[in-house]
Amino acid sequence: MKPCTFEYHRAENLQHACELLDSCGDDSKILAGGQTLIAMMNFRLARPKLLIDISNIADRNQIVDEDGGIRIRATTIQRFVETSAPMRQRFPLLCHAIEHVAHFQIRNKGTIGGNLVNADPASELPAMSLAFDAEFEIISLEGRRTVPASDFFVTYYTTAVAANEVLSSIRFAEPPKNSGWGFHEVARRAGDYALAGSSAIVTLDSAGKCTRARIALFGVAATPVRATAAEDVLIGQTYSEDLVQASARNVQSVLDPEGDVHVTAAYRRSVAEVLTVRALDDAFRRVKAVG
Amino acid sequence: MSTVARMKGATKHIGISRKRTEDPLILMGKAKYVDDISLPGQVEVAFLRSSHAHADITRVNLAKAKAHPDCIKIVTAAEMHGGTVTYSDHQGNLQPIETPFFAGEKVRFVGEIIAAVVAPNRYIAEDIVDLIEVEYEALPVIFDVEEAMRPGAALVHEEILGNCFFSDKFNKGDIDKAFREADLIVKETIKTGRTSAAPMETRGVIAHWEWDDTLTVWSSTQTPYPLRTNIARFLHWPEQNIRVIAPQVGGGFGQKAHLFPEEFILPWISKDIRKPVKWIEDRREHFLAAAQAKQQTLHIELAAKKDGTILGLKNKAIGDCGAYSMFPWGGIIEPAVGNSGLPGAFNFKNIQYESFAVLTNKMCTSAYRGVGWSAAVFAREMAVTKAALQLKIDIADIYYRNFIKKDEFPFLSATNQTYDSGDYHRVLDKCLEMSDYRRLKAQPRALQNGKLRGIGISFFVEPTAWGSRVAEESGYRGITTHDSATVEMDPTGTVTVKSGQFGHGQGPKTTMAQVCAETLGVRFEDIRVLEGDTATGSYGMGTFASRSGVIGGGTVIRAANDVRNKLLKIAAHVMEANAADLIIDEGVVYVKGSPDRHMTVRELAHITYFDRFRRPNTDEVEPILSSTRHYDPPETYANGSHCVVLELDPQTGKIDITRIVAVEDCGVMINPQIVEGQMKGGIGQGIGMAMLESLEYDKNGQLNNASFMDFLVPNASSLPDIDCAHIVTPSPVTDGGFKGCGEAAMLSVHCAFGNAVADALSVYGILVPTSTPIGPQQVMDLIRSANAEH
Repeated sequence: MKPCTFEYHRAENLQHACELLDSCGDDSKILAGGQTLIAMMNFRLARPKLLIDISNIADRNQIVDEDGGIRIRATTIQRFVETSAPMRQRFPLLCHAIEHVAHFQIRNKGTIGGNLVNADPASELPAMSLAFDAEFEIISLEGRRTVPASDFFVTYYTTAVAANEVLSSIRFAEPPKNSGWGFHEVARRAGDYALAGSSAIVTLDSAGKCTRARIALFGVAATPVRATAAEDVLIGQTYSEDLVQASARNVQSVLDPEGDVHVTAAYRRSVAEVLTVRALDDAFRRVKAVG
Repeated sequence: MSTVARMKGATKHIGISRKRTEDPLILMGKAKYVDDISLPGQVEVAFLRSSHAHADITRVNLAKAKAHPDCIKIVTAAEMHGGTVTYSDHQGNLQPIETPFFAGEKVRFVGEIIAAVVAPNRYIAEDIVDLIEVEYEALPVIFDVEEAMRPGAALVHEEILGNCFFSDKFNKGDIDKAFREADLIVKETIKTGRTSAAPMETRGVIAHWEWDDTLTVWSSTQTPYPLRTNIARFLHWPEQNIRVIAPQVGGGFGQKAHLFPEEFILPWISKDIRKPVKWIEDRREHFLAAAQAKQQTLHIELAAKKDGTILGLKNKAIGDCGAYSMFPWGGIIEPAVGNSGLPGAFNFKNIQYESFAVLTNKMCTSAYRGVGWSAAVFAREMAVTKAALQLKIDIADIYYRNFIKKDEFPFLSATNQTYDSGDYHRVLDKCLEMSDYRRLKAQPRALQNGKLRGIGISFFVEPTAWGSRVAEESGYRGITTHDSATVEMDPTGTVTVKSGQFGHGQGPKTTMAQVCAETLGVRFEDIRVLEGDTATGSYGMGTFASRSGVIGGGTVIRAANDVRNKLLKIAAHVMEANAADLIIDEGVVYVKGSPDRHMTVRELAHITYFDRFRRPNTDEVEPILSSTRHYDPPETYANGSHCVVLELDPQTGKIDITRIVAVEDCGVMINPQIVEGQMKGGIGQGIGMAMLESLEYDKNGQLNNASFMDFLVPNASSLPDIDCAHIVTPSPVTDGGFKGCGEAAMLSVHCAFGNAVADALSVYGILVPTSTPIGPQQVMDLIRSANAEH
């Protein structure tokens, strides 16, 4: 478990990282927190010839307000977001989800962008990007482009970021007022990748009718999935146990889970629905608590 | 000293929760493990290991690898022949199978060594390993033991027909009558998962051959002396020229009580290239090629009366032993040892069992804390759990009805184990009381939070003091063990204990010093324990199988007693007193009744060594304050009980353990805090086996979870605080009254967990787990099976 020989470059900024990428092409890898990449290299499952370290760029941890949301620099460590007081107030679901990413020691190294680009479908953050209508800003020597979360995740460990590109920031939209959230996952142990998980945001009008809903699941397909059919069931309705169950049944159409050494695909299907019920229950309860 | 806790009945040194001598170095990060040792000129080894579970090797092309500019040496079977062969005297019909150092024409499991690459460092060595080309011709993979035993099945070793290299049958009492007269018969097929001890420190070896033809080996082993003897035996080197050092070892749990091919290959290479060589196992290698454990298929049958009386047991235990017969225990350790422990605390007289050791294309299984018992007692306890549910009698009441009573000791168990002592009912009382068992059991299972509460209990009897006698009663009829210690007083009155035992977490530097201080009458601080080095110790089998407290303690008591008697003889002469009137206490010798007449041990030791005018005539009393003594104790059996309280989510199958209570009777405790460390450590590993750990081989013999990402061991969040308590019934048969305490929880706590799962699920009907680990998938499968029945 020792990596192959590789070259190491420290990028001064993301522009510099793009230049290095451009000169080395497919054999190079961006090193941010290294919490997955280094282990993959030790197993020799990843054999990059060149590592471009972006963990030392100026202002690596950065969260800025942007009309109706926040923009998080990709190099920001997870723990920085998790412990940010304004983030905990405005994006409690996101912070709660981050608390489920591995262990705090790992979150002190792991970055928001690294987690998203790694695109493990069982990870929490990719699903959060769907729940918060995130936009991914990607840069290269050719310029910058924006990709919505719905187009970002291609399949297992694969995203819209091309070999010559770097993810620079992610914009998360703030849910409307009168919203509530819920988040549930099942993992074998605290800190493990989820066997399955579900998150929900619901927004209610003054009569208690649902005007907007987001349901995003993880660990249940090749990418994180947003269950729009399940969301649609809620629109215009007020809370009832039956409503939540009817909505959760509709997550099934977007699930395409696999079995592994821990549980079967059927387990993931069944539990994804259970967790969606719980996430929705919590979400409705939390709006009421606010209202 | 003010922080030292004394337990009730403690003497000056025995029964004291003294802080461990071992800990400061470990806590400061200054302890030296194998990988902390670096020799001048040292080079490193990486192994090419088989990627196929069963294949003929048709070609190994080393050309590219040898062309690497930094390649020092590549060794294969073509150069280093031979292997280890398990002793044939373990059991009459154990068929010998050679475990080769290198696979030659055939590989039999993924991870088997094909080549050793020597290079300046491990990075380069791995680069060179990547350059070796191996051509395999795949053979059918033997994956499942029952398929392996079917006529016509492919063979792991051509000479072992039916893939079974050991079988045994045992009958006692009248089993047919017991089953004829039973009101209830429970039949289950139980499958225990394949686990790994997964010690924090993996294996590692440094070998250093020198020009005077001496060899020093540092190995992360539990058994330095047997390693020395067997290097001499299998490499045909003179044993007196070999020194084995086990430095700080980061956990063994039985797994490192084996001798592995790497421990022979490294010495051979060092001599061949005349350089010190080092190999540190990485975690992936560890999962592939360090001893695995506990995978058995057990067909258990239990006969009971309506009132809960258990009449007898039948069991057919098939050990999934992997591709070889692991040296030195020989693979029989799972099925044969397991069966020997089937009766536990039960007093039934009728038993019938069969043991089969079966080969498959996986890494070998062998010793790991709780050895075969973990599987056998799980099978028994799940059968008892089911019987209790069917008879509508609480399992605790089944225990009370069937357990051996305290006035029945010594008790000969149904499998001919001689239990020396105990008070099982009292231990059970204590465990039920501490866990509030009866009250919890009377409450509804469904909780406000939507979860189901389960309460489970279990009880164990643990064979300890693994010497010749307990080995025989546990299924190793031919084993003779040898253990000794030397106690030596220096001219300044300080004491060195040289032990053949060797700690890697058990704290013998502390406990052996406590025993010595107590026996000899000197201060604890004046004693040093040397261990883990064959150049400075005294021959012994090593530390495993809950043996060192009893055997190490016994050897030290005997040797310290000799030194004490010698010192008293000399003191009597010097002080002009009768030896029988002298007392030694904390390094001072007094005349009984005249406390003014005293001398220090330091003064007496000086006189003994250097003062020919004051010491006795040396022809009559030799001035040697040293003794080496041997101890092969009689069998002694510890016991204890566990209660597990858990909350089970019936919609996801997720289980959270909310409480664990452990009560143990291991006789006289030398250091109660160390005993509790053993209890808690065993509970951690037992819960690992119960709910998390499983090495997942697929049908092609590939291990699909060879990392800590997917092989799950309990972490801090998996376990609640553990409440411990002790009952002390001193062993009437061992020196010091000690019993062992190392395996304990792994004979029990997983059963309490399984029992608690069945209790939580009792709202659906009678649902008893039939396999380990019991994870969310297994829980949901159990619930689904109930729904399917309706």
